[in-house]
Amino acid sequence: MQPHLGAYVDGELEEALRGDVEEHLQECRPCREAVRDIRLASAVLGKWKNAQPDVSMVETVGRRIREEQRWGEVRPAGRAIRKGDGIGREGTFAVRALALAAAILLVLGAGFMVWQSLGGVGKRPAAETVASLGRAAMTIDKVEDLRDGGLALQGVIGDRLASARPDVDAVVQLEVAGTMMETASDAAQGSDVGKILNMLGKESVAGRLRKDMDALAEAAGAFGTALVTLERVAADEPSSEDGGLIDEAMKLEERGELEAALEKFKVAGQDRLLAIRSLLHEAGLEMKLERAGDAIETLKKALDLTKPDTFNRELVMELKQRAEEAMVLHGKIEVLRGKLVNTENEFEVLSEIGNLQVKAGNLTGAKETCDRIIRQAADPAHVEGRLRVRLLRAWCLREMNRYAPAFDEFESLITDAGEAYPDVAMLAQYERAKTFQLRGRFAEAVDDYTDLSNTPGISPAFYAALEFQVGYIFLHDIGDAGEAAKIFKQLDQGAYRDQPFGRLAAELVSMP
Amino acid sequence: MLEGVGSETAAGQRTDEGLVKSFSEGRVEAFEELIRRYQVKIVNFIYRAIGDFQRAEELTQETFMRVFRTGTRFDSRYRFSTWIYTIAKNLSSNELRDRSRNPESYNIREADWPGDGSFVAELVSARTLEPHQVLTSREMKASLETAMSSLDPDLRMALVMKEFDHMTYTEIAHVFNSSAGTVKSWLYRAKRHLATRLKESEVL
Repeated sequence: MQPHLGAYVDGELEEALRGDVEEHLQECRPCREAVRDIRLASAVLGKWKNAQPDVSMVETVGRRIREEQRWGEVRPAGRAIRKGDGIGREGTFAVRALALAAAILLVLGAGFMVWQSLGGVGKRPAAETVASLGRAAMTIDKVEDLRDGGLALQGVIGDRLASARPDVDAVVQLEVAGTMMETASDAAQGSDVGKILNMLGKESVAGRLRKDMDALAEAAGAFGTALVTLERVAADEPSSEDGGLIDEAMKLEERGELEAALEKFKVAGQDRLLAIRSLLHEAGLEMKLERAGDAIETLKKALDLTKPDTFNRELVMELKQRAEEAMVLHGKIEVLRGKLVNTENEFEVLSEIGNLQVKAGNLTGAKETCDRIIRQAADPAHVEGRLRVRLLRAWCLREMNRYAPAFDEFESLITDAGEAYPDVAMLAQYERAKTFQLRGRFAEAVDDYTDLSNTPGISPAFYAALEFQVGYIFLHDIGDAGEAAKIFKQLDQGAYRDQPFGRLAAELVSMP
Repeated sequence: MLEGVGSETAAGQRTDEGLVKSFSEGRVEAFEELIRRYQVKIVNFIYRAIGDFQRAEELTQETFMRVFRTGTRFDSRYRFSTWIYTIAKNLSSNELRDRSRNPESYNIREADWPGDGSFVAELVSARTLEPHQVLTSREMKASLETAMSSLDPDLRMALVMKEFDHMTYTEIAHVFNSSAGTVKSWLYRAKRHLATRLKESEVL
C-alpha cells in the first residue's frame, strides 16, 4: 500500500486503486500520518521560490556559441546518433582518464595516418608514458572556460592534498599537480589535467619516490604557488612577473610570432619550476623553428634544474629524445634542400622535405613546403602526389587549429580524388571526420568513420583506427560506455589485435 | 509543463520541437527562444539539485551549449523538455560526483526563502501547534538544506522534477531512463525521508 500513498498524493494513482487507498486511509492511522507527512514535506518545499538567473543566458550562451562557431555553421546531421544516448554522461573518472590518454594518442595517430599516406614510416607514439601524457596535458589548448578549469582543478588538488600521506602516490601526484596547476594559467583545461592526475594515480610510476619527504615538501610548495596562480586565474588578475612573461610568450606563440615568443620565454623564470616550464616551451619553439640543436641545449639546461626521479625529469628526457630525433631529421632536410638546387625531381624532393618537417614537428615549415609544391605547374606524372600534398597541407592547417580552411580542403579533396584515387579520398574523409570530432560534431564524425570502415578491402590497421575512433566517441563524447565496449571488444581480436589502435582498444577493454 | 508534439499549439505558439527544427535549419532566433523558455526552469532545477546557485548558472549555460552542439541530432519523436532535463540532470550528477571534497554543502539562498510570518502561521494551522513549537523560517531553511543534502542525488533530482517542475512520473522516468514504477517508489521514499528528517529537526 505504502508506495501508492505517494502516487495518491501526487494525483498519479490509477483510477482503479484510488478508491481502495481512500478506503484504507479511513481505517489506517499510520497511513493517514504518512500522507500528512508527505503533504507537509511538499508544503515546506513549496516555500522555496524560483530564482531568476543573474545573467542573461541568451547573451552569455550566445557569446560562447559565437566563439565556438567562428569556423562554420551548424549543419543538419546525417545519420543520427540515437537520442537519449546519455548526453553529458562522462563515465567514471578512471574511464575518463584513460579516454584522455586515448585522445592524445588519437591526435598523434592522425599524424600517423598522414605520414603513411605520403609514404613515410609512421612511428607509434609512446602515449602510454607518463611523460607524453604530461606533455600533452600542457599543450591541450581547448580552453572553453579557463576559470571553470582552474576551479575544477583546485577541487582535484584539494582532494589530493586532503588525502596526502607521506607516501608514494601523494608525492607524485602533488608534484605533478603543482606543475600542472601552474600550467593551468596557460590554457590547459583544468578538468583534463585533473583526469591526467587521476591517471597518474593509477600508474605505478609512483614507485620511485618512496618516502621521499623532501619531494613532498617541494610538492607542497608547488601546490601553494599553483593555488596562487589559480586564484589569480579565477579573479582574472594580472599574473606574477614570471607567469606573466610566460602568458605573454604563449600569446605571441598563438599569433604565430615564434621568434618574439622565444625571446620572452628566454627571459622568464627565476623560480625553478617556472624556469623548467619556460625552458620546455623554449625547446618546443626551437624545434618548430627547425633548431633542434638549440632545443637540445635548452633541454640540457632544463635537465640540470630537475631533480632525479621526478615527473619533470621524465618529461625533459622525453623531449630531449624527440629533439635528438628531430636533429637527425633536420640534417636530412638540409641535405635534401641542397639537392633542390639542381634536380629534375623537385616534386619528389620537396615532398620528402615536407614529410620530414611534419615528423620533426615543424608544421609551419611543412605547410610552406606544401604551398611551394602546389604553386608549381601541374605535371601529369604527379596528379596523385599533388593530391597527397594538398592533404598534408590541410592536415597541417588543422593541427595549427585553422579548422575552417582545413575542413574546406578535406571536402574538396574527397571530391577531387574521387574514384580515380580512392586511397586519397579515403584519407581525406578520415581527416574530415577527425575535424568533425575535434569540433564536437560527433554524429557527422561517426558517419564518416562508419562509412569508411564499411569500404571493402581496407587494411586491418585502417579499419582498427576507424572503429576505434567511433568507440572513442561513444565512450568519451556521448557517454555510452556499453556501445564503446562492444566496439573495443571487437577490435581486441583477430587481425586487429596487432594494430596500434587494436592494442589501445584492448587496454580500454581491460579497464574495470 | 509539456506542450504537444505538433509544430504549433492551439494558441498558435510554436512548440519546443518546432523551435528545435527551425534552429537546426539555422535560425538562431529559435534557439534564443528556447533559452528564454527554459532558462529559469533549468537554472532552478540545477540549483535545487546541487544546492549552489552560482554553479547552477554556469551549468545552465553548459546545458544550453550542449543543446546547441547536438541540437541538430535531436530526435523529434522525443519531447524537447525531456531531453534538456536529461542534459541538466547529467551535468548535475557529474557536478555532485566531482564535488566529493565538500559533499555536505547545500545552500538555499536567503533571497529565495520566505521570511517568517505567513509561512509559520500556515504550518501552525496545518499541525495545530502553538507558534512557539514551530521553528523560525530561517531554522526551517537550515533543516530543509540538511534534509535535501542527505537525499540520494537521483532521488533529490526526481523530487525536484516532480515538486517544482510538475513533471509526470512517466516524464521523470524518461529522463532517468527508468520506469514510472521506479520513479513512483523513489518519490515516495524521497518524501518520507524528507519528512522524517524535517521531523527530526522539529520542523514538522
